[in-house]
Amino acid sequence: MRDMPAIRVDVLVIGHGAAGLFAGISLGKDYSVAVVGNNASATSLSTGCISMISQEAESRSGGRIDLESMAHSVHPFSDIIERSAMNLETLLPEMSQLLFRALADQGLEMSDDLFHQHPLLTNLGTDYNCSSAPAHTINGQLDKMAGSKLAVLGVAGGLDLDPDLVRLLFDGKRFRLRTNSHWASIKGLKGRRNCGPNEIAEVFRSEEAIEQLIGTIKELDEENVMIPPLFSLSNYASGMTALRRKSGRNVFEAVTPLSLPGLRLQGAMEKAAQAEGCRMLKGRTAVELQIENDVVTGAVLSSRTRRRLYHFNSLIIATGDVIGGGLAIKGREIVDPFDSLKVATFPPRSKKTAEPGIAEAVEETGYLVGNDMRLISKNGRTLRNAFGAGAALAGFSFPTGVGLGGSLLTAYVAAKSVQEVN
Amino acid sequence: MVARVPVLVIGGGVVGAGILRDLALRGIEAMLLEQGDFCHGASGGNQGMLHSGARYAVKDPVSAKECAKESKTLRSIAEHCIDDCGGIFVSLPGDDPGYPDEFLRGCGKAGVEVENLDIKEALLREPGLSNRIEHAASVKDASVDAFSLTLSNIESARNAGAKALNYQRIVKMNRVRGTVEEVHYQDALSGELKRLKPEIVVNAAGAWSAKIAALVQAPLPLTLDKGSMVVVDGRQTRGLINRLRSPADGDIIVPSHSVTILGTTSIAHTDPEKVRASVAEVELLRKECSLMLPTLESCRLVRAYARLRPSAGDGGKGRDASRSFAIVDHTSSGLDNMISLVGGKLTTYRLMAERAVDAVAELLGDNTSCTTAKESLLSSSQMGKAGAIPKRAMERMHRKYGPIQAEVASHCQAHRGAESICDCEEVLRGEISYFAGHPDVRTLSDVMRRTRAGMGYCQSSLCAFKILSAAKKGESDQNARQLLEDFLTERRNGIEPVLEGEQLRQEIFRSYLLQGTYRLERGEGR
Repeated sequence: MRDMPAIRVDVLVIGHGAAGLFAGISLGKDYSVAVVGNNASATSLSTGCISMISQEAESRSGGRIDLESMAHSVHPFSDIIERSAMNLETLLPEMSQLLFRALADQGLEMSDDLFHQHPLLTNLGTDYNCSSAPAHTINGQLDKMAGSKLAVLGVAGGLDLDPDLVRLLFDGKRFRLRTNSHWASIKGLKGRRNCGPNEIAEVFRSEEAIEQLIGTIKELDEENVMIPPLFSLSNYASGMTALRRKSGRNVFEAVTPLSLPGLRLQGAMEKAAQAEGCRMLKGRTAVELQIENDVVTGAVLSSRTRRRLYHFNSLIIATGDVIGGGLAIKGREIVDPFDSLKVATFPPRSKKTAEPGIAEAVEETGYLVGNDMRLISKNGRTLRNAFGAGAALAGFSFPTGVGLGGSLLTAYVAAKSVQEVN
Repeated sequence: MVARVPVLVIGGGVVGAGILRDLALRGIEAMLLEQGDFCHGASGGNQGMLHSGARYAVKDPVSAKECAKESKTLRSIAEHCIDDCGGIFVSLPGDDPGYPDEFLRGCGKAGVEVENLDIKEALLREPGLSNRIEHAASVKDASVDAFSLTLSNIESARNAGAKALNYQRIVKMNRVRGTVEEVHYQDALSGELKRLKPEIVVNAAGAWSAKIAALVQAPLPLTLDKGSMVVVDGRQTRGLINRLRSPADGDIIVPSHSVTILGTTSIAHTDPEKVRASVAEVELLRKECSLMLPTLESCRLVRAYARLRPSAGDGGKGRDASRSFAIVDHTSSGLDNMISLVGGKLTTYRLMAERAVDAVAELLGDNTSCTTAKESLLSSSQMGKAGAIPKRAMERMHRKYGPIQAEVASHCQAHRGAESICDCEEVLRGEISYFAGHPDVRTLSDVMRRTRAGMGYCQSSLCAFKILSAAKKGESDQNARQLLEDFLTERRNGIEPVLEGEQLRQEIFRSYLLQGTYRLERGEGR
């Protein structure tokens, strides 16, 4: 391991998922920002949709998002908004304007209605509610298709959408949709099986494959056609538009995790952060924080062969929850990998005797933050220049279904706090 | 008109299945009823160990002798269920220094083949062994697939004309003076009630046998004793590893299919319906087994399970209980047409069945002799046509399905039949579709038990849907979702005691996907 000379930046962001990148997008123009990331982010594995409200709060509020339902959604949400004296009615539009413009500039059009939830269909046939999705996914809103016919079209050889399974699991009656399953055979996939999203995207770079699929769609009776994600970010918009226009059908994408939609969102956000002037430090992990008198003075980043100390004015930690590796696991406990910060524990201390309820416990596990998203050191002192964002925070992890919404909002609030300090 | 049957066998574990086959091969008409799926009890939750007898050589010579003889017999009649990987006994510092000699003497007396190994040889054979071992001996233990063995017995019995039904719970038995006259049973899933008039009842209900006997006011001396096991990802050893000491907790490591099973514990228990491995047991098993095989300290634990050992009530408790068996004819409680089995082991199931059927035959006045020690469970040794199926998959199917391997393989030749459904256990689509259409198979877990799909380290978080789709069960959406949720819940129950380290991460990810994104399993864990 070689030690490299120290470097100074204005803001160091640890974590290159939705939260880290959005903090970078928010701050890149005015500060020198470096974003550190390692391996796949949880965002790249997500559905690429953004939800702003939990499923429980949603059923209470009838799908409408307002301050009250938000306040009942996840506790830290409302706490943080309250403590930072911000108003959601102005914060959300401000934030979404910044976000959606940045994404659109990189070729990812998102529906931008963060105040409502829309029911979409997953690749398993379950329904998935979210407030913002890529424009071509949102065409598959189940309530808007009511009374019509839906074709679920799988691509033979691909893994992402099994129309027979959707038929088994989808409750069509509830949405007044008649559903049929179909398979498309594409020349480039002939004889292949279990192709993952990247292999499929490779095949659908060719005009020929797209034309062939259009031919298949034209032969269908149904006016709505759900397909698996087929295109990577570079030809996503053009590919989907061609399918819709040339077939004359309402073609839309299934909501799919671990697949192209997440990769597209990740890609667009990385590009957007870079466009704002952020430096991406990939393949590096933060291994140590240096703290003096409630100020984090430095962070040591390590690649496989080198270590380097970074100094900064402000630090944002957006390393994600335990799934993505942001929090570490020691035996049965979830802990801070830096051994410097205060973490709400898993299993919750009060429930240690009971059977661990994974969902409940993990939701409550993560970094604790004080006013303005300031992180708290393990000895209970509020840090002056270190902020937390995203799923790494207690209350913002799974399974509330607000993963990306909460991540983006906390990142935006953290970025505002950085601006206030400097 | 109530149906009549000469012999009713209660219990579809390996012993019940063995009895049914024995009866069928002797030409005695019989029917078997099982309350859950076959292997619902201890047969579906043991360590999968074919005992050479060595483990009991010192303490329980009767059981050792039985095991020594029966393990040889099973190698000749059920070769396909047995992974003959051998076993090593090792002692560690602090273990009773006199035990190894006693052990060798005991093995000699009981007819258990054993060979002293020097430490170097032992480490060559099992490189993962601790270098602190002090004595080592090689024995002919093996890993056996109890589920495959049970189903092969059922299959063979059916071919010989017997009937076997799963998911049929005995709800009532009418006793008229000294005779069990009528048996009422209920379909556990549909709730349908049926009646049957058996001439003779054979109670092979294992941990439930005292409950069955109580239905006709017949006491049965039975001691229940919980044993827990932990499944570790990957095959961590070549063969079985056994601690060379007087039998205690966490003594045995058994490689089985794609995993390794650590066992066992021994805790007094009463209710067979509520048996779960505890976190403390999981920790104990890992700690004890790691002393023999240090790599286990950092291995990923996949799942834990527990079942009850039903031992003869007068043979001591826990580890002191004899692992031998007894046939109880209930004449002392005035019954003339029921016999019950207590105690015994997987390795000696065939012998137990033979003795039980001898008793039945005596009651019936039938003197046909037992042939199960000679007749192979495989009707033909021919494997099905491989075609597009990889050779390894053919071999795995042979081991899992034995007599019906060719039939299952032919399903894999169909369109999309050779697609992989479960990558952890390498199960093909054709295997799933074959069993989905089988009359015994009612739930996705039934498919899983037969094919092993979903039993690998991901614990079906990724393949559950492919299994559902390939099974095409539950054509109406309500039903399909219910099947899926039941399956996911069952898988989940075995995971909780082992939630730590990477398996905890895996489970959080699984919950994130299923509950967060797909909105399945929503009633769970909240």
